[in-house]
Amino acid sequence: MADKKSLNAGLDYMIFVPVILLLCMGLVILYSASSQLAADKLGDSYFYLKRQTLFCVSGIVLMMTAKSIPYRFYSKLTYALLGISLVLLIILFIPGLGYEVSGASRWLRLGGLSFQPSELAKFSLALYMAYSMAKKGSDMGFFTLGLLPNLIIAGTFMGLIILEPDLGTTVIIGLWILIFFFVGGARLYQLVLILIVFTPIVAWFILHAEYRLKRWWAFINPWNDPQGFGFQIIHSFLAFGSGGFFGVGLGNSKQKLYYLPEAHTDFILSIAAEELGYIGITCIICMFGLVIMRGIKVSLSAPDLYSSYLAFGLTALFGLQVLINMAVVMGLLPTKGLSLPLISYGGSSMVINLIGIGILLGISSRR
Amino acid sequence: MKIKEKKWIRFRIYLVAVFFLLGFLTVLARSFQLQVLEKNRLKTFARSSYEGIIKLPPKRGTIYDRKGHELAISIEVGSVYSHPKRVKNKVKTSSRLSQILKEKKSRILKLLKSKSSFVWIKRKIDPDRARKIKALGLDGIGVITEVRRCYPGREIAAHLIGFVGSENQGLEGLEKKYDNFLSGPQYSLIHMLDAKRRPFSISRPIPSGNGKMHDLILTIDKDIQYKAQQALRLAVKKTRARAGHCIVVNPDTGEILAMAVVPEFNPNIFFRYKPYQWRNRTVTDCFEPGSTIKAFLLAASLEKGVVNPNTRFDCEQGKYKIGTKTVRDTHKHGIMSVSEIIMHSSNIGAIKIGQKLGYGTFYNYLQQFGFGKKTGINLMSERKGFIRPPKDAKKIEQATLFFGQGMTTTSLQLVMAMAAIANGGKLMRPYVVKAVVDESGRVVKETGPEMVRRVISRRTAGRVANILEKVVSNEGTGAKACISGFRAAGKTGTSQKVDPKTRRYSRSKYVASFAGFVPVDRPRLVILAVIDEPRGITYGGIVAGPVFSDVGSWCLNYLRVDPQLRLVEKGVNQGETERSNIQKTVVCRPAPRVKGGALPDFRGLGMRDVLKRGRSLGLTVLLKGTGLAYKQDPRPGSSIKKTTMVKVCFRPPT
Repeated sequence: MADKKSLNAGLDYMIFVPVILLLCMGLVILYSASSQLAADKLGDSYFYLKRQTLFCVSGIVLMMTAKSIPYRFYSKLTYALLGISLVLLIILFIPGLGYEVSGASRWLRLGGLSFQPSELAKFSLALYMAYSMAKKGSDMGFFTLGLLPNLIIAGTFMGLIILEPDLGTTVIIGLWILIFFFVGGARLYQLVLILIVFTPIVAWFILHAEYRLKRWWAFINPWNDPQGFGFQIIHSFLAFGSGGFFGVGLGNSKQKLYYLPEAHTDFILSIAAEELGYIGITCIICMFGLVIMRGIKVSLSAPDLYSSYLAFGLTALFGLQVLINMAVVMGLLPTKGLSLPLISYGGSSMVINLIGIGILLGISSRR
Repeated sequence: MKIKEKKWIRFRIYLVAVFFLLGFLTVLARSFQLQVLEKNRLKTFARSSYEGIIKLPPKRGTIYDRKGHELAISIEVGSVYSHPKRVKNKVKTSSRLSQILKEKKSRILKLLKSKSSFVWIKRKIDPDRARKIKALGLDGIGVITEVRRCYPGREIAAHLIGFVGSENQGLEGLEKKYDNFLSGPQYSLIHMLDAKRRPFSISRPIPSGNGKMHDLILTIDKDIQYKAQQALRLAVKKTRARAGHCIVVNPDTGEILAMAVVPEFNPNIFFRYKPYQWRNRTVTDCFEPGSTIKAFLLAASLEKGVVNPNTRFDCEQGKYKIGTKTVRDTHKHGIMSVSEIIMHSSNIGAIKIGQKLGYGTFYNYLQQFGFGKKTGINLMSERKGFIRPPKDAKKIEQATLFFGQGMTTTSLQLVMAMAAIANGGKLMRPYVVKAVVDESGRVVKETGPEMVRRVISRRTAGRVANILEKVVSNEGTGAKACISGFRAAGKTGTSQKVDPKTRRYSRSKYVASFAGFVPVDRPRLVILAVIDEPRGITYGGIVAGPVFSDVGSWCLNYLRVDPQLRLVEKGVNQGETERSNIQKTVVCRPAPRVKGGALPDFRGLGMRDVLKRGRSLGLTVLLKGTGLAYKQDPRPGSSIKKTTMVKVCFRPPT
């Protein structure tokens, strides 16, 4: 074992290089997408770029730190992190502490920075699931013994998140849990049963919030209401279409000029598509794909079951977020408030995703 | 325990990997669909939301006269626009702009406060002020070079050329009729707007559409046009008339050399005039030609052979009953020859000739001469006039047509018909646009002389011309139309206007006209002068004749046509008021007047002697023909006191 030779020992370049490239591309696109907004709103066109760079740098530092920490250490953190996440998620509901953005309180204000507890919750769930599933081993095939405890923990988290409300994150966690169970050895009928139980709950949430219902309709046929709920997805389409094969060139996006809402966060990929074209999008998708495939490879060749599950869980979580965000901006899934890891603006997501990748790198270096 | 040992876990992980791979492939395919397959549709749609188009008026071709003088040109000027949402200090900006533009501050401020993303502050200002505004460098204020139409000749041929609107679109006259040719490619500015409708970029003018710009070359001669307008203006002013038109035509080709309408207007500021003042009355207005039509009665009768110039008719001492109505002449005449009837313009004589010719035949001939039908000149809203068809005409109406009452004509029809007599019997198609030339100078469309039809034989035309020449003689009604040094011919006309209230012929409103050509043996010019509602004396010969004479003599000199009669002085035969204006052009002034005595007999003398003796008596001598004197006017022995001018005719000794 080449544990503590140096920081770079056994660095998995198949993960590290695409991640760094994605970060760089992300910063460039973020600047392009946000400068006008930042200049108009905050009087400083570099505002978002500066902050995102800060997140990036601290994220990379944390990533390298996480890589050098032996993964067994994380199993000890599991319950502590789970507890902190739970507390933070509950704190969101205390009026005055939760930071509300357009009707949803998803952020906590800590000093000058705002923090998104659901990001931490996802991460701690990944740690917990890997830990718990590795411990149970072949018991995962039994419902009460294997699946139920995990379901209760995850269900609590999902329940809290859905009440923020943040349906997107909840659905992602749900899907991810299902995949985890599948890999962990759950029977197919058990998974189907879980789906049957949870789908009506999600459906209920959709049906009982008018905006979600409208988003759903906008997804089915965005051109019905181009000025209302279809507006965002249509302008995303327009950004993709305007970009064409080669793109309009960096900085030349038109949709970022207030046409496309959330251009620097959830819909940043559309701006990338407009400016860099199909070529640029292909590059981005390939790099994400590389990271994810490599992450799965790491989990397959991990030294033990825990590290294997941990690598798989982090990779799957990362991959699901990427895939769903992309599907959303291209109109393949209804709009949810989900950001694109490593590229969208946002400190919590950036830092936590990079820590996750750091852990992945750590496991990879200890194969 | 390593995961490697659990085959089913590995298998399930592989399945998840495949799931991700498929996911990414789906996303890639979707991206391909959006970015490559549906690119054009989406792009067009996207563009429509962020691009705003401001159309700029197109450039226009130049309109030249036949000699290459510019009648209408395009000049580059500056236009000031604003993106109101980008103007930060609206009050300050408006006050600075108002200083330069000399516009009310409040008006500019109102524009700057408008909600639209683009407004014109002031268009088409001179380049100097535009430069000043540019130099200010105000936020949200810009200057674009635009093209403005300019008519350097101001009133010259304004009615013919017309004018353009603020978008440089032809509104009247040739500018409208030839808009397709004159108008160049449309230019537009594309300005891009963000979703808050604030502009973030404005393009240079981009040509849109593939319109080509052409120049027009007219048949008009700017100098002749100027002269015609000036003479007409003078006549209209002197007679305090309502309006007047004058057309000068080259009889051989049908080219219009001048087309003047009074009152005039300045097309550069057309909006300060009333729409009726823009009308090119020479083609849009009809009037009753009156006695002028007798020229064509004569032509038709001679052509048909129903009369010859010496055929005599009883002119009934100025009163002639047709049914219950009585036709009167202004002077009482007894028995007169056809030439005398024309010379004195006897209505009763005309009826007698006409009765011999027959209404139907005359009607046909008038149609042959082009009356009652559009001439086909390429001008806006040409009218066709009216002749009553034989089957509709009552007896009295038939009779009055022979002296031009009860039909209407445009000036253009009348002048073209007269041209047909002048050029030996051919009705030509009138035209004002000689050629349409593209930007490289290539002729795209050319108009040449076109004969519509032969109306009368060359011989008849010559005979008619000889009789019409007598109209311009001293005994004729058109004496004031004579042009010294040249043999001119023509016909006067004075017609009563129909009072729209009473629907009867007015006793006070007349149209006075003179249509003639010069020189008689080889006509170079046909000139028509029409004076609408002159006051005081209303006779065509007296009111419109001088216009013919003035324009004719000037043009002949301008065109360097050699005078046929040498050693001729221009007669001071105009009225007292005119003398001050016209006398300046007289070459030789008569010697001081001798008072008293009788006029000597010049008959049998040579030209030189006649001149010498005449001038020694202080008389203006008008010479006609060559050889020895055989006739003089006034007669020998008449009092010299009342005489200022003697007209002496010569013929070669036999």
